Amino acid sequence: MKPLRILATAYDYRPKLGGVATCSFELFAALARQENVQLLVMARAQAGDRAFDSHGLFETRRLALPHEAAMSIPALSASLMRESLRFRPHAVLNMLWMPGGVASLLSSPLRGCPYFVFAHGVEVLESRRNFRKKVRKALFSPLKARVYGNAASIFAVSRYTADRVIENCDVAPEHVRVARNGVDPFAFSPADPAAHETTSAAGILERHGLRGKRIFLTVTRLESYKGVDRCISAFRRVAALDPDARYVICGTGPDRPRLEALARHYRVADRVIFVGAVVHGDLLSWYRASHCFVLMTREALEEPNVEGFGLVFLEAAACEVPSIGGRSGGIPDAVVEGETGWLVDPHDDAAIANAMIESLRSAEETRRRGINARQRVLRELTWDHMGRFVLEEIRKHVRN
Amino acid sequence: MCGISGVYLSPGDAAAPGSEFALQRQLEKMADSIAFRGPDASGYWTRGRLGLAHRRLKIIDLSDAANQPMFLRGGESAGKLGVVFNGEIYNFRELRAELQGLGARFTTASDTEVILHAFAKWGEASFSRFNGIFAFALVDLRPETPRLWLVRDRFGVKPLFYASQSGRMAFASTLRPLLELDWVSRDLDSTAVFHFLKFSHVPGESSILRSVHQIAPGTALCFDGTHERSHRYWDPFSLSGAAKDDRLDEKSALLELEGILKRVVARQSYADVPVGMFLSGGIDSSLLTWALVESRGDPASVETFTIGYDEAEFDETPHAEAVAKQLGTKHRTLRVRSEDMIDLIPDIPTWFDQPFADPSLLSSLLLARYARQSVTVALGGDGGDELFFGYSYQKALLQIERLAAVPTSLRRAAFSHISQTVGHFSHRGQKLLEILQFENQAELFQYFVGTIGPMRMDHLRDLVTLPLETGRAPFQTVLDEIQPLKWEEKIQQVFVRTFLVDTVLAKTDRAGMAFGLEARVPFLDDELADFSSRIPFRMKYAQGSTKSLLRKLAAKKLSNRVALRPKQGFSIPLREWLRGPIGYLLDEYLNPVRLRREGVLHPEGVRELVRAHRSGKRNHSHLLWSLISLQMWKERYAA
Repeated sequence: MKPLRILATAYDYRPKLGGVATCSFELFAALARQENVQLLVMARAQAGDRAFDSHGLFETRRLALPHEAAMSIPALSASLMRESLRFRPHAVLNMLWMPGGVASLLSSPLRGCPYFVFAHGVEVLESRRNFRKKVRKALFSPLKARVYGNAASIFAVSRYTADRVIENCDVAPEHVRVARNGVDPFAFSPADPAAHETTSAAGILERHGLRGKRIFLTVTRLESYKGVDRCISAFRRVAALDPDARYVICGTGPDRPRLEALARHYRVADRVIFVGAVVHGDLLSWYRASHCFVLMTREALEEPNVEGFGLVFLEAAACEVPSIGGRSGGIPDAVVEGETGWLVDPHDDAAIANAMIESLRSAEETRRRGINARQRVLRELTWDHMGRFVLEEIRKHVRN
Repeated sequence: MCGISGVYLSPGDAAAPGSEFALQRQLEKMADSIAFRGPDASGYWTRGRLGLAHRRLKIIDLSDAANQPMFLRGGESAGKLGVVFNGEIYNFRELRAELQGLGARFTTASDTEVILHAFAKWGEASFSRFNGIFAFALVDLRPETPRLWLVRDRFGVKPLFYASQSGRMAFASTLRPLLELDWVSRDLDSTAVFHFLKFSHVPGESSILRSVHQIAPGTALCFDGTHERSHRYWDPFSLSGAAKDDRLDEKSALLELEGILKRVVARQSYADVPVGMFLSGGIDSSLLTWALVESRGDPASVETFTIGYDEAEFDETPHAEAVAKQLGTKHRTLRVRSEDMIDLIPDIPTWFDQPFADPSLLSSLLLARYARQSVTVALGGDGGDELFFGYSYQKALLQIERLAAVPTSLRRAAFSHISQTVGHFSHRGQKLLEILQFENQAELFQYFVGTIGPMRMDHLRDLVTLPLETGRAPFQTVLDEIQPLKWEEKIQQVFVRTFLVDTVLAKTDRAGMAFGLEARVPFLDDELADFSSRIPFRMKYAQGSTKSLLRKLAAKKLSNRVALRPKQGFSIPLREWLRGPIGYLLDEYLNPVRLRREGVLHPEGVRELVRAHRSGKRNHSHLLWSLISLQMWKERYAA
């Protein structure tokens, strides 16, 4: 049987961090692990890419593309045609509609194979907030609809994102498939009491003077729509009840000064710990050391900004840590209310605080939800699950 | 200074099983909620339907014998007259001697006991004999049905809140203890919300809550378990109604003022704890410092305190230091940075338990905290501007009212024409044009007395969803009472009855009490106030010069530099703060989602205000600060 040749484009890609970059790499790795699949990835060149690409799972071509995605279209289209002639793909998989999807659309008459496009969340939305955004919407909305409309299939990472594609891009519902994000259950796993690595969780608590404390953890880029302000506001109510509760925030971003000021304003600055950027080892330790993961991303449609899915919820889940998530965007796909965590109105401090307090008061229930969360990951939310689903869908459209 | 509270239960409440224990618990909670007002001692008393609670800051007679609630210990009324008292009676030694002459036997050296003996002897006529700053609750168990008296000093230096409903009553120094009671509703008084956003404080006898009121200055309220009766034992009208001594020449007036100031300051600096002075270097506080040095005869024993800022335009420290140096006082300066003030913001609702948005409260708090490290009592110059015509706004009112002779319709047509002809006016220009179209005196006062919000109250309808009751126009009640007075006297009356009590004195009391510091206000001493009411107006305002007589005394006793100094208030750089270091408060308290859920403020109107301010197009800093203050207060007390 001939191998299935997939040419993939990725604009947001590792070694840069972020949800789309991580999803792209992990999905490619999962596809490459499937039988009879030959994968060629075309990605934007960036610092440190050579070392990163030496993983040996699949071949990666790096292209020098401009920072503005739209400006990358000509160069990427040309490269795509060139590689198509050489690689002769059966399908092109684009991790973003812009620029990969547009380049695929432009080159499709010459290439003669179907293309597929991913939809993560925010890139599907359009805003009319200011003149620049209005112009952007006027220019790009029809193009986006074209790209999605001509794709063989659209993969949306959550039900929310699928609905937005259908709604905003005038696409038939049967054309959109929900391919939920995944996580690596080996890279993210609960602490094994017998293993040496448990010391890292204890170590990180020790290092930050948090031994014996109950940690609520947020891992995110610090931007206003991420809702960390609401978590701090809610946490002060928790702090008033439980002297051992602490709120740890991992990540950097422009909102940090405001959030620090807010923690001071609510007199919890000594109990809200801003860790900053963390390396993977420390991140794992923080997950393992946590009582609950919290993220209250809200829909900021004017920006626009939204949580298309929320990979971090799965990372926490894989570590048997339940989540308290905001009922917004794709988060309800990542967290199952009552089973793997709590879903609350991300604007409602009292509801967030109540969930936090409930998690502290019902230790057994919290533990149950944590175990459920990992079980769910193992059952349906690993990268391999995602890879198999995407591959199956691609095969349906490719004539052998 | 202390914190008082108490309850008069309804017969039904009192008949409930365990009511005495429940009452005791209520009193403890009420007193604990304002423990910072009286950190030195606490005391409770209950009998039948009545209960009193007290938190004491020891100032005079530091012995525990002077703890409260205090009951008469001898004579016919022994055990039947009790009191909880916040404040000072400055003439208590004279009254004590008089009462002793009439047979009263005192068991303590406190002024509290003087209240009891005075009431036993003179009844409610005693209230007008007290020269001081006070709010007290007195229980009289002699009648068949006990009576509760709630009494507040002439100018309202000390606060006194109360709530009554269905045969029950409760009172407290501030609003917060009343919120410990289930039957006190937390429904906002919608008109008070409008007034707060217009003036940065809740004016008059109302409170931010519909169910809670304030005892008016110079007023006593009597409750006998069924009926309440209120009467004014001192009429502020007398400040203007007193016969003017037109023959008084300036030289004699200066001499008399000099003597009064020395006597007043000597009287008011009496305490069994260290006493200091807030010295800004302005006319009022400099004269008081001079009088204190004179009365003590030992400058080094006088401690003076000033606050200094990095912003040179607001900084008064060189002036204060010059006066301190001239008089030889032991002077201390606290230099503060913006961060110090911002750090206090979260605690504002703790100390100001009724919304209060004069941003200078932050500097008052810092100064009080600083002074408290050295002294327990501090004298300040509050009241001087109101009684001696010191505000530039008073001066402006004096001049603008002349336009009242031109019919409103004519003025409106003229100014509208100007506005259209000249085109786009600056924000200030537009404001002035709007002011000049005033319809009546009440409206004119709305522009000038403590206003921080939009010129017209109904503009606030874009921000507040609650109904505005049009029947309660601010200032109108006062103006109705003082109708026969001359315009300059009306101005003075309005400032004394509104701005002084609602903003100046409220700030001074709450800021001091936040740190257990008693702030005294010698300018409001009965003797000095009576003097101000007797002198002809030309001695207050002459040839465009405000506080004329005080300036002349300052020139004589201090220097021309002090005498000629224009009034300098401290203005917090709110405009820049809200665009920078405290911008997070806008996101936190005024975000549309929150406002929509709470339903008190219009999300769209507020959003527009925030947007315009942040973009730099308009300066809405004071109104935004008031909105934030209201939200912070609601979060703490009305959530």
